[in-house]
Amino acid sequence: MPQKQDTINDYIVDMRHVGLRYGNGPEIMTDINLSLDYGSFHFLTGKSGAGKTSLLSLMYLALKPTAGTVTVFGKNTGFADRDDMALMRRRLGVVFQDFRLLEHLSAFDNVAVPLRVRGMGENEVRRRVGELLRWVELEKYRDKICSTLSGGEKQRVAIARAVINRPEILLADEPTGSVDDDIGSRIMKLFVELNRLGTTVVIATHSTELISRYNYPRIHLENKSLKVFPPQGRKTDEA
Amino acid sequence: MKPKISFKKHSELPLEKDGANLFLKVMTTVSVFVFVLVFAVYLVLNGVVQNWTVGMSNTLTVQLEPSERALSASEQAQRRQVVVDFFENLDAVERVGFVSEKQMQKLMSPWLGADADISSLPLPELLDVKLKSDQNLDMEKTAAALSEKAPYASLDNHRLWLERLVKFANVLRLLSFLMLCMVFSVCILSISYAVCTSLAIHRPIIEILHIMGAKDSYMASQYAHQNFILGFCAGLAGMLLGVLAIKSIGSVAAHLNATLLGGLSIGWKGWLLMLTLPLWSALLSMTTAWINVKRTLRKMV
Ligand SMILES: Nc1ncnc2c1ncn2[C@@H]1O[C@H](COP(=O)(O)OP(=O)(O)O)[C@@H](O)[C@H]1O
Ligand SMILES: [Mg+2]
Repeated sequence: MPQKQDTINDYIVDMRHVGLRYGNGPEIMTDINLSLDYGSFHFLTGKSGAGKTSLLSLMYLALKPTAGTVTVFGKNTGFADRDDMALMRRRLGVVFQDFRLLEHLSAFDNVAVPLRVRGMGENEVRRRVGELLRWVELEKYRDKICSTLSGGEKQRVAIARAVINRPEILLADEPTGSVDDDIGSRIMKLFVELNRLGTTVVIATHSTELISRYNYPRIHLENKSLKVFPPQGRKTDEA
Repeated sequence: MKPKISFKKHSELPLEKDGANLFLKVMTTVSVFVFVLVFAVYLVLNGVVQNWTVGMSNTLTVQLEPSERALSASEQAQRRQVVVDFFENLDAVERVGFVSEKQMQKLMSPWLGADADISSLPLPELLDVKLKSDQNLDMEKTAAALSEKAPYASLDNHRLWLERLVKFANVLRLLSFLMLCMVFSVCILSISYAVCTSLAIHRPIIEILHIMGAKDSYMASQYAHQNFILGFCAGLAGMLLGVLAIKSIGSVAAHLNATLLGGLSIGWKGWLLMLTLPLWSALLSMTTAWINVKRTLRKMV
């Protein structure tokens, strides 16, 4: 019987002896232990298929571990009911590898989703979404249906949607994968800025160049387990 | 300033484009249409049964056929006594009495004139039987038993006939009620099925909404809203078609035989209930959608 861990936890994300398998398949992660401090910034690396997306899914509560416990905001996700999970997810921002936008809706309506699901009034929604779209220079795409946007534009919409709610944790799955370098560094600047304001950030990436440019620790996934490497890049305020 | 509450609610789920919508619209329209017709039949039968039941007073009349040959006075008395004894022995009977010659004269006067001598006519003798108001008498059984004891006596068949009609009407009423229940269940099942199919189709969107922090009730309210409008519009169409059908059946039938139809009516309460049917259909499809979304999503991760 797992111990009920509903008490205050020093970490914003705390994974203990976590194992994960899809269906009846083999374990893709075994005995993972990972603790993220409030306000920390980590890169997440590993070969394709190493389990980066799966690890992030455990953090944004789309998956439950098949072994061990995952604690987010001090709450054991194994004991959270459906409405608890919804409330926890409202404190998270997620950028999916494949964006997962609502393709039939406009950029505006996509970015507005996290605000609308918590029942925010339309006036406030319009104000906040308008402000953010201006900030990420997507204003002219405001009413464009997402399926007509380019990959890079979609990625920016996805990022805007992830940060609109001022999340306590930002989980980004290869967020600079399909944008030009200058937009990539703009996005990184946004993440660094959010982190300065207190948001905990985890960014999955393939790009060794990106990692070397910033001075943050790195979580590396390999052979079903995980290692944390100390910062190895240049100073964070280089840009 | 835009109004806060608008008819078109914001929705992430493109429910108005669901493939099942046309099916649901047609199905709901037809269901409400059938419901109106069957409901009308039910109400008419209700009224008819009530009228007829009231029409059956708690007295009945027994006829004693005049004999072919002349009878002696004692034979005559014997004939009468058998019938009187028969009825006095029944629990449900309060009082038995013969219709006097004077009363007979009065009854016959419209046909024979006020001063005809009825004693010379071969008229049946009439026996009035008063029933206790709190007791039921099985007319069919009583009639059979009577004809065994006194073949020359017969129960007035008007009442018997009415009673058979009431029985028949009651069976029809039960059938129409069962049909209403069936229409009702078919509606609920179709809506449930359509909602479950739609949830499966929109699963990717729902997963995204979940991860963005939507509670199940967020999706459920979008389905409830959509189905309320669908249920209302289809209900309105079905109701109007149904009322139109009843009205035209009524006017065609009125030409055929106005007197027969005099007693057939739906009543203002019935009409009022029919006019509110679109609202009931809207509430039904809304509630069904809401419950099914919540139930189905609970099984989803
Ligand atoms: N929905 C799924 N069903 C079954 N297996 C999956 C599913 N998603 C991922 N996997 C498997 O889990 C492993 C890790 O995948 P993933 O987390 O996507 O890795 P990464 O993001 O590092 O490329 C892979 O072997 C992949 O095949
Ligand atoms: Mg991945």
